[in-house]
Amino acid sequence: MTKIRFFSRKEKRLIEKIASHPQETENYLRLGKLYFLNSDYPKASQAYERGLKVAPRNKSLLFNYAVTREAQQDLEGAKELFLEILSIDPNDEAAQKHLDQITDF
Amino acid sequence: MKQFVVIGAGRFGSAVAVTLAQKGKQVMVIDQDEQTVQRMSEIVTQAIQLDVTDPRSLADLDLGEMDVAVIGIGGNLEASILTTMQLKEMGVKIVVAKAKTNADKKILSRIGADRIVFPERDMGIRVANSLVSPTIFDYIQVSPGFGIVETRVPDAIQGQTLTEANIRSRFGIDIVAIRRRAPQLDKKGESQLKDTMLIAPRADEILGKNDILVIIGEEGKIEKFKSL
Repeated sequence: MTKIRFFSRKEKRLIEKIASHPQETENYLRLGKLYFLNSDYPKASQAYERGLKVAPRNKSLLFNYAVTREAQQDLEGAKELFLEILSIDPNDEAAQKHLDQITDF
Repeated sequence: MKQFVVIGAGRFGSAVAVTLAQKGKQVMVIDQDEQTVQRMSEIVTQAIQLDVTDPRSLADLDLGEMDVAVIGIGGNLEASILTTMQLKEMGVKIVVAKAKTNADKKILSRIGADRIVFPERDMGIRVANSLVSPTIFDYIQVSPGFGIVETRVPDAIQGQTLTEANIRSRFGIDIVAIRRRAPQLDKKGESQLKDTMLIAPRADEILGKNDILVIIGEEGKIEKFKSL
């Protein structure tokens, strides 16, 4: 019960923060992660998509969104996002590792 | 720890070698191409350049200690046959050979290959199954008409326990395992999925929306289950 209440409070606070400071990408990221940890992948994806409208080349948003797509078994979508990260930073090891895991060789 | 040797590192052989190495196994790769050997040496335990189509060259290597040998020589049945014979004589416990036709299979099994694979045919079956059934992620044919597949939990039984879903009685198939991908944050605070495999899951295990079921059964019955 405490856990659910904590989740709701945190969710509400982040939604309010996003409404008052829509340009701050960190809040989209936090909200996405909150949903991700609760296995609510569609809502996590929505949060990341909104964040990416503000900062389309934000690596952290792209990475967390990609892992969420992976969780949803949308491997093609995840692959595109990991490739986008690598186009921004070719040395991103975490993105490369994930990409290798979901790509047939 | 089991020791593997992969002879011939073309597409098939290198895929086997890389996958084994990624799983932390000791893998030796033998291939005649210098560049291939160079590339594989960065991935596997040991990579050696040898003319793998000449089985005499293998005689100098002490491969008798190997637990499993995978022969990935493509398009050269004669070399595969001679290599299989030589590896069995050396004392390799399991020899896996690649065949293109049923005739190849017969010959290879007669001369001692313990397992014969048809990579192209098997992959063709798997691809076709995944195209026909997008909810199926992987398919392994155990025998004609009988297979093991990984598939999503059908909507109709999400949230039920295995007992409530009553899968064996209703569909005549068995759940071998449940692959569960648990969301978590890593040390850097980034999203990660931790794979856990529940082998022979308990009857009170609840089937989650994001679980992947590993099921075994007749293809027709698996199809019926998927369409739930």
